[in-house]
Amino acid sequence: MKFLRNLFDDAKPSFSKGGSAEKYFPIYDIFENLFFLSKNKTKNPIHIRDALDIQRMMVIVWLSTFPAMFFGMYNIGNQSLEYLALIDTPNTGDWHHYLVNIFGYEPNSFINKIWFGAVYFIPIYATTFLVGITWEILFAIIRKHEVNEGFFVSSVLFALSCPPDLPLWQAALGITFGIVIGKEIFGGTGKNFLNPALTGRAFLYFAYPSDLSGDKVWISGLGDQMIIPQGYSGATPLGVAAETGVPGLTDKFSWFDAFAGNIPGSVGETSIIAISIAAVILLMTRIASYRIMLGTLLGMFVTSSLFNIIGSETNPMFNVPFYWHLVIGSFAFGLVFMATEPVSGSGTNKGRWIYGIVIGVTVVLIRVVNPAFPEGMMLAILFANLLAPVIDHLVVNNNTQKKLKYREAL
Amino acid sequence: MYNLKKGLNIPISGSPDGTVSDSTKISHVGILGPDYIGMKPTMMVDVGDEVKIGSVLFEDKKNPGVFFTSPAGGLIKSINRGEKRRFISIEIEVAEQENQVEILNDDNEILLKNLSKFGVINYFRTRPFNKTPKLKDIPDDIFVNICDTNPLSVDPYIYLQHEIDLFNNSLTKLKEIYNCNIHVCYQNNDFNNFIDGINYYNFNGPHPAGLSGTHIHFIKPVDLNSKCWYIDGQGVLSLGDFALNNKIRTSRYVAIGGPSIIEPKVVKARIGSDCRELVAGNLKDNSRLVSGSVLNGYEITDSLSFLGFYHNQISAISDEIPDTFLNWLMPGSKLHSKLGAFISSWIKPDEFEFNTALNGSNRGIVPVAAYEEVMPLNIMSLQLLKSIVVKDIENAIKLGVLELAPEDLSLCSYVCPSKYDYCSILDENLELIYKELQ
Repeated sequence: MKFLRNLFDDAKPSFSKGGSAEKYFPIYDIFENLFFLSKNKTKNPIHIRDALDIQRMMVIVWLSTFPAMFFGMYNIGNQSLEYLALIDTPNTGDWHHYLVNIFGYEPNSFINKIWFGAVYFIPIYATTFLVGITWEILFAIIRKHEVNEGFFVSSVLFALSCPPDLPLWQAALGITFGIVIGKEIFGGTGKNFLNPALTGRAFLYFAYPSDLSGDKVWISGLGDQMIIPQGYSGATPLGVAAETGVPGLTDKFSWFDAFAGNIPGSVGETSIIAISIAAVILLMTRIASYRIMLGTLLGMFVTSSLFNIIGSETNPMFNVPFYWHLVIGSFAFGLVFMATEPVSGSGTNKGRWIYGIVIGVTVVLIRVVNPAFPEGMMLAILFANLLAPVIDHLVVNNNTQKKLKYREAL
Repeated sequence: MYNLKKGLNIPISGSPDGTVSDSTKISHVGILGPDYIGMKPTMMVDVGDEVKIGSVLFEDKKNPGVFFTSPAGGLIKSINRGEKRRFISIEIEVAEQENQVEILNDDNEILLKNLSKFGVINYFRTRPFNKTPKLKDIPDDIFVNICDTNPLSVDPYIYLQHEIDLFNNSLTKLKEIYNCNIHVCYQNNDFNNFIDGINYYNFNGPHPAGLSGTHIHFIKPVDLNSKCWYIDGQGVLSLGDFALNNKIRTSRYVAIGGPSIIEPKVVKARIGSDCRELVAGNLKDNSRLVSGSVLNGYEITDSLSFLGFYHNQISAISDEIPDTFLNWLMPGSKLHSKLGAFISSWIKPDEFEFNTALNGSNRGIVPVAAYEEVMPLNIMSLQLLKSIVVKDIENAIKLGVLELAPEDLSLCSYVCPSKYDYCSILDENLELIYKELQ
């Protein structure tokens, strides 16, 4: 520790004002902050400060994704090894094979499953992280602002929302779009009006639909093998529900499978148990807004129940009840991690309720009555992001009007 | 009765209890420029001049006819100026034998003139803008504040009750000369010295329930045209001594506390005391001494070493920040935080030893709901904070910025995870609005 401290102290002069590497201060700053509490002191007129800073806040969100991340890796291995055993081909058919082969393709081994998932997920995450932080530092140097730790969260959420088979160049492209267009051109973290991780994810979704939607991308190797046994499908429960409704759904998956996460899907979205752990952490530390979470749940519950009552003979999604909506697709993942992103969300307490309800209603609308895409959470949140300033404007206007009337009455 | 729920009492160690002791002998007193917002002095004394208690020191160039007078008799020792000759302080060496200039407040008309002539009017401040009142202004409302919810403060009623007659007579006199509404806001439930013609309100709850800004907001919110003045209980005592006894009061009750104070206490100190003299022998090493509250005060430095004119307390906190390795991973049982990101929010220690660490670096605003939780006023906090940061004064006025003084935003700054200083930003905005109006 002393050694590190000395290292930083020695390097500081060249990164400080007037030093040879002054321009690169953001790089120094982020590494120093990583290891040591900053030595910044308070100034007049406020002499003491709350211990919470952005770094701590973002690290908590980042850590809270870990259960979902580790379960996600396990689940990739679980789904894929089962499939590969079924077609009796112990080979993923690409470069992953050399790494997977270290532990082998035995489908009943826990370690094999985790390893298989890690071989797929970690390269995606590493690519996302490295490409993203390069942009972040580049903008910090050119625009002379600090590197915001919010990036740790954006990168892990982006990686977790991707399918396991995502080509790495697409991961790089997606996070680039998310960071640059979704955040930096508006001035960096705190000034973005869209969720950067979702912006990147949505870009990939529309730019490369064949790699991000359909039945074949959710189980690693399925797309490469071309052998799909009769009756086998890699479709997500949401995809199944869109085709055949609740009967088809319960035929293939039990509700508990979907709740525990034993289903195909994006890396981090499948296990509601793991996501709930994160929800508890985020609510207990009060970093995420309970208003947004409850609002979203409420909106989803009311809208899906309404569709259940209306019913439809041609569209099987009408009959999907709320407890299935909760566990399939990325509803829970988006609810806990994406909708609660404070910068792009609503900034008033009343607005946070409305914002949540808008997401809940929109996601069911997209899932049920939109024929083009089965999943709606990503688009619902982005839509609500766009609406958030309007919601806030109305709430604020209402408040100022009331105050004006009160003053006139005095 | 106003019971406020939102807000925050910061559990900082070293609070004084209510017993009042005499202060150590003070050899230097001073008047501070930054105490008076927008004031530009025209000096009427020079270094080496001899002054009496009540001798005119300077006149406010921006408010001609309003004078500032000496709180002590003695010699002018120095006049400190900062960048661009900005007035910082004037220091007076206190003589062994002090005399007061002659004051005769024969009738109310003369008294009104004398208030400006002897600078006693400066105990009042206006809302909006928190400046001293203009010459010849007559208020519609006067808010008297006998609450204090600042960290390390003591309830003013504890010492006011010893001089309650002077306090009440002073209120009656105020009513007589200004013929306006007088609202007294108190927090002590034992307060029972009500007199006719004055409005009384009880405020309860965590800080900022004791700030004048909070009282005014709930009782009669101000706008651009409001003629609202506010004053604290000690100001009323000074006014009373001046109006009724023809005397310039030279003392003030001051709470001395904080983790770096060895023996926290309340003292009756000279107005404008040199703070270092006041805490001599009572301060731990490597500390920052602050005139005022830790949430709204200024660091005692060589040129700014005197007790603020409006300050009722002196605080001291450690100025040493320990090296913390991997701070973001530590449970943080000794770090205070409003939200739940540290273990301390769950084990809830009674007191925390605060130091001068900013606890982070400046970042863009990430709006967690902390601002709303410490803002009891009906104000859209995040929107207001954002609009003052970008100096969108039109929008800020709509959101209620005119009702605020910097101290009203100090809790928002305290909890801000992005480490903004909204108090100074608010100051700049109010100054900008004031200039636009001229």
